Amino acid sequence: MPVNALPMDLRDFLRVAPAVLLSAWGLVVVAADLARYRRRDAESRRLAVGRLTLIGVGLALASAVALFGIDSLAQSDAPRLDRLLGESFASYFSRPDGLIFFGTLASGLPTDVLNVLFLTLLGLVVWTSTAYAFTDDLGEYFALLLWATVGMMLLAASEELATLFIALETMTICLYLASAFEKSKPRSAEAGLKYFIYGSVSSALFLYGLSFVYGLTGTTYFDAIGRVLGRGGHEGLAGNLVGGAALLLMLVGFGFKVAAVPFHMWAPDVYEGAPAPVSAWIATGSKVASFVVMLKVFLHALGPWSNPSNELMGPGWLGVVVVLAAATMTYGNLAALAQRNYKRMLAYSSIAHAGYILVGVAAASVSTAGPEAAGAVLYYLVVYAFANVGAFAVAAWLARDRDGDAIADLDGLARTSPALAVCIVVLMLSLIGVPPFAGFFGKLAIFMEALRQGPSGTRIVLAWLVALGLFNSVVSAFYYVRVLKAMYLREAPSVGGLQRAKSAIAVPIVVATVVVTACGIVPSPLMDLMRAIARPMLTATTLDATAVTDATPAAGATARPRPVAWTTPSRPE
Amino acid sequence: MGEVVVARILFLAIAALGLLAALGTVLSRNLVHAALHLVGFFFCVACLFVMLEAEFLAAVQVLIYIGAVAILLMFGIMLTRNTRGDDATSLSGPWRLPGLVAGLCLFGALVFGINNAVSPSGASPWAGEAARPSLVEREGEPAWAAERRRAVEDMGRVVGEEFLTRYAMAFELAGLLLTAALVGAVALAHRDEVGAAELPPTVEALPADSAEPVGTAAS
Repeated sequence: MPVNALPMDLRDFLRVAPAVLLSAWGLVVVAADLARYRRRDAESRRLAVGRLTLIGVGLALASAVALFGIDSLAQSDAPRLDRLLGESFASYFSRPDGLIFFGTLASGLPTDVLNVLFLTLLGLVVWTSTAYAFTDDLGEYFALLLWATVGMMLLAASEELATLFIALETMTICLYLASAFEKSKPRSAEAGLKYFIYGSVSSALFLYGLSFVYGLTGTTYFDAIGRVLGRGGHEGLAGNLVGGAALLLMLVGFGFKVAAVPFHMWAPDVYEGAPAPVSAWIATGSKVASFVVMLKVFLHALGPWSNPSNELMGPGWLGVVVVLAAATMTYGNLAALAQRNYKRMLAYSSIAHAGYILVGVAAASVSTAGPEAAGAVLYYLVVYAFANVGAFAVAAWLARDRDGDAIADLDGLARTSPALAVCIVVLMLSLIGVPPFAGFFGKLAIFMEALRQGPSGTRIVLAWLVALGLFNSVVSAFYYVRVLKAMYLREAPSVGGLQRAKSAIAVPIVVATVVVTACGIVPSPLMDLMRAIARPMLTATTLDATAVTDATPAAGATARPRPVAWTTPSRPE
Repeated sequence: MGEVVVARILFLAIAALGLLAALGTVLSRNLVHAALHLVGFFFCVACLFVMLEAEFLAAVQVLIYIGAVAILLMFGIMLTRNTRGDDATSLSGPWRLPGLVAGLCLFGALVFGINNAVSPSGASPWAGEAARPSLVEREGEPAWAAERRRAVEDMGRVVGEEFLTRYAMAFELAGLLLTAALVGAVALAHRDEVGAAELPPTVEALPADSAEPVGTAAS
C-alpha cells in the first residue's frame, strides 16, 4: 500500500528553535541539579541552578532574536537575506503564508515578537526565583518554568484547535505543579490543588466547546473555521443552539485562563498561596498567551459570529464579552479595595486588568480599523506583563525578609530603599493608568478602539463600557495608593524590616520600571510594532488548495490526495 | 437474516456482561476487585467498538484504557496499600436515599433523552440494524468522500500519518507534557529525608511480612 503521507519540511523545526531549546534545557537543568549541584549548600545551589537556567533562557532568547532578524529582513530586504543564507533558506523564510507544520503553527514576525516578550519575562521571573528559598526541588522547579514557557510560546503561535489545546494544557499543567512547590507552606499545596481542580474542569468544558466547533465546521484550522462560518450569511448564530453552546463553553475556558468574572474564584487563592515567582508567571505569561490565543480564536476563527446582526444583544459573542468585561473590571476593582494582603490585592487587580483587556477584545471585533485594532490589546498586554513582573518581585522581597505578604510589611520602605521605592511608585502609577507611564497609553488605546466604530447598534453600549472603565480606573487608584502610603507615610519597624534587595529582586523591579516609563514617554514605537504584527497574526491564511499550489508547485504537481481537514470542507450543509 | 440474529445475540451478550462488570465495579468492597471489574468493563466496550466496525478504536481502547489507565489505577492502589477502600467515601445512613433518588433521576433523563433521539415519535422500534454507508469508490465523487473512505478503511494508517506529519508538533508537545507532569509529580510526592526521619514509622517502614500482602484480602 502506498504511503501517501505529506512530505514534511524539516526546516520547520528551525523556526520553533526557541521552544525546542527551552524543552531540552529543562532536561539539562534537572540533570545538572541532580548530578552536580545537589551536594552544595542551599544558597549556592539555588544560585547555580538559577544561573544555569538563565543561560538556557539567554540561548533561547538569542535564537528568537535571530529569527526576528531573519523574518524582518525577509520582509524588508529579501536580496540581502539571499546573500546571507543562500537561496533555498531565503525563499523558505520569505514564504508569504507564515505558517509551519502544515498550517498548525504560525511563524514570522508576530510569533517572533511574542517569543522575545515571553523569554524576556521568563528571564526576569527566573531571576526573581533565585531571591529566596522556597523549595528544595530546584531543578524540577526551574524545568517546569521553562516547559510552561514552551507551552505559552506554542499556544500563542497555534493556528489550529488540537495544537491549541495541547499547548494550553502543557502551560497550565506545569503551572499547577509549580504552584504547589513551596512544600513547607500548606497554603501552597492548597493553591496547587485548587488551581488544578478548577483548571481541569474548565479545560474539559473548553475541549467540549472545541469539539462542537469541529463538528459544526468540519475543520480545526482557525482560518478555515472563519471562512465556513462566514458563509453562514447574515443571521449567523441565530437559532444555532450548538453554536451558542460552543461559544459559551469556549468562553468558560478562556475566562478561566484569564481570570474573568465569574470564573475568577481560583485567582486570589492561587496568587496568594503559590510562591511569588510562580504567581508572577501565572499573572503575566499565562495571561498574555491566553489573551493572544483568545484574540486569534474569537477574531479570526469566530469573527463572523461576533455581531452578525449589528445589535449588541443579537446573536453573537460580542454581547457576552461586553457583559463579562463590565463585570470583571468592576468586581476586580471593588474586591481589591478590601484587601490587606499584597499578593491578593495584585490578584484582584489582575482580574480588573483582564476586564479592561476584554473591552479591547470586544472593541477589536467591531472597530473600523480591522485586525489592527488588536494591536491596542497587545500593547496593553506587554505593559501589564512588565508592570506585574516588577510588582511580584516586590512580593518575593516580602516573602524573603518578612516571610509574609501583607501590604503593611512594606511600611517605611521609602526610608530604607528610596530608589526602589520610587520604582514601585512608577509601577503602581502605571497600573492605575496615570500619564506619562505606559499603563495610561494602554488604556487610552483600548478605549479609543472601543469608540472608533462606524454607525452601529453597539456604539452606545461600548461608549458606556468605556465610561465604566474610566470610573474603574479611578477606583483602582485607591488600593494602589495604599501601597504608596505604606511606603512613604508609615514608619519602618525597628526590627525585622525589609533588608537591602539583592540583584534578584532589584533587577526585575528596575527593568519593569524602565520599560513602563520608556513605553510611556515614547509610546509610538511599541504601539506601531504591535499594530504591525496584529494584522498578520489575525489573518494567517491556512494552506488551502490554491495556496498549496502557489507556494509549493512540486507538491501540487504530484497531486497527492490531501487530508480532509486541510481543505475547506465542501460538505453539503 | 441469520447474521443479523447472531449480531443481535452477540450485542446482548456483550452488553449484559458489560453491565455486570460495571455493577461489580461499583459494588465490590475490595478496591483491587473493583479495578479488575473495571478492566472487564473496558474490554466489553472494546468489543462493542468491534461490532460497530471501529477496529482501530477498539485496539486503542484496549491499549490505553486497559493497558495504561487501569494498570495505573492498580499501581495506585498497591502503592497506597489501601485495598479496602475508605468508609468515609461510600454513602451510608441518611445519604443513601437522596443518592438513590439522584441516580434514578439521571437514569430517567438518559432513557428519555436517548428514546427521543432514537425515535422521536415513539413509532420506530428500539432495535434495528443499519449498514455503514457504502465505501465503494464511485465515479466523480468529491474529494472529501474519497478521503473519508480512506480514513474509515484504514484508520490506523491515517491516524499514524497525521501524527507524524501534520500534528508532529502537537505530538511532540504531548510528550513534553507527560515528561513535565512526571517530573513535577515526582518532585511533589518526594518526601525530604529530614522530614521522613521526624515522622512516625509508616507502613513502608515496617518489616515486609507484617504488611498485608496486597490483593489477598478477602472482601
